[in-house]
Amino acid sequence: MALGNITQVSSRRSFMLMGCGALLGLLMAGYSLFTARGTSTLVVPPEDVALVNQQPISRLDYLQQLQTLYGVDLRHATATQRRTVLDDMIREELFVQRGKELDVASTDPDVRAAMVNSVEQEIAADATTAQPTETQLHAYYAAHRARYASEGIMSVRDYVFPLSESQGAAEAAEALRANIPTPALLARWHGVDSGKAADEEFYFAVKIHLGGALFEAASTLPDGAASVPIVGSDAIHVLYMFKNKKPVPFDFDAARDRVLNDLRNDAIGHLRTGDEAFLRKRANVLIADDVR
Amino acid sequence: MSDVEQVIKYGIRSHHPKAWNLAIMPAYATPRPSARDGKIPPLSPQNIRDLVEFLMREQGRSADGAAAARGAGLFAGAGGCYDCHAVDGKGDAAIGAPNLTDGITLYGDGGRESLFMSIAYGRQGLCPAWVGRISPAGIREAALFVHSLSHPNSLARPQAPAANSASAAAAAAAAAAAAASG
Repeated sequence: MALGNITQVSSRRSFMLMGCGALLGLLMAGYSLFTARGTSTLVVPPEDVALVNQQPISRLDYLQQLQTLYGVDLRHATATQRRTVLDDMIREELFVQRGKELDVASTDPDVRAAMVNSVEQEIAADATTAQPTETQLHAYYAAHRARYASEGIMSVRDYVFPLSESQGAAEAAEALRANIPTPALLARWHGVDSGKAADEEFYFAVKIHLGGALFEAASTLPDGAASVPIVGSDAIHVLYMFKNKKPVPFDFDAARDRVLNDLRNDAIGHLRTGDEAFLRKRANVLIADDVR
Repeated sequence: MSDVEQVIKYGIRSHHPKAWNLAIMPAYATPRPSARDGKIPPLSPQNIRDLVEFLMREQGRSADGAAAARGAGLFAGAGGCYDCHAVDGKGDAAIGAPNLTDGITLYGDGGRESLFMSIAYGRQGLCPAWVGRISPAGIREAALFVHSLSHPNSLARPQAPAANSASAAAAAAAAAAAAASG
């Protein structure tokens, strides 16, 4: 008999039984490991409509999809509509999972761009979901007060004189300081309105229309003032200010929305910079000699 | 109800791919009023004042007739306002463009100054995406709370969400604000 007398101690039998036990244990562990039954669930959570290889398909997404495709909610959807939407979502999940296995992100530029965007949004979400306190908002507003002001408004005229009329332009400027401009007054020194500035414009528009140098000169003029002659490449300019409403600082209440937005954007920028620095720091990046 | 839940989960203008990335009110007193649409031109101060008068008239309030007529032309023309707020000014909730004729203002007191501010400097409410930050149950709680604010008789009005504490309460607050602006 192979096991011998059961009432007697047998080293051979002990080793055989130990081996069988070990083998059985290994088989059970291997089966559990490769089928992962021990970590899976057979119950679909209430917030999901399906689990695909344990990956949830959100009930909310499913309802939204039903609404988008058929314009119905779950109660009014037909069995076919429900099945079609669910099948489509399961198919998508299967293909996404397969895409991960195939590592499509390493080759597909669209997938790469989407992943970069997703990670950026994930980083930004830390900032957007953090609601700053009123104290923080006030502190930010105080630190960046210059940002929060109305756009200035001006009514200015740009009169141009021939480059040869430098003396005339100076006399015209002097005359404009004492008189409201008229075509007759300008004509005395061969001056005309360039037409570049409209009746009433925001500062940024004036800057675009007149250029930076003339705008800078205009922005300092009070109502009813004329500038000194400004020699340009094409003509001599004299600016006359009818009305100059300078930017007015917004108080905190008026600026609050913009303050919140700016604070969030700054926080997002800060987080992104920090995260990128962290990723670079922990990465092992090798660069070819010829592109260093 | 599921719409509210969707908003809390993915947000409004949160840049989440599934968010409601609704229209943004351009800032017409800037060189490029809309970052998204380069075709929208800036307006002059007078243009904006004309639009304000037009809105006042549409809301049945006293307005300068000539300015309102000019504003109507801008609304339906160069200003491009009709594109989001519809030709009749009644808005389009699907893209977050409010009704401009009902006298309900989300920002300011509805007076000329605050209307000028909205047109000149733009508005853009935001609801963050809370997916991954609050559990599904917490999102549902926040959605129930927000829904109960506008449907007080639909269910026993709950206290502000507590089970998922501060995050759910913050989500509810953000969603309520964003829903109002949407």
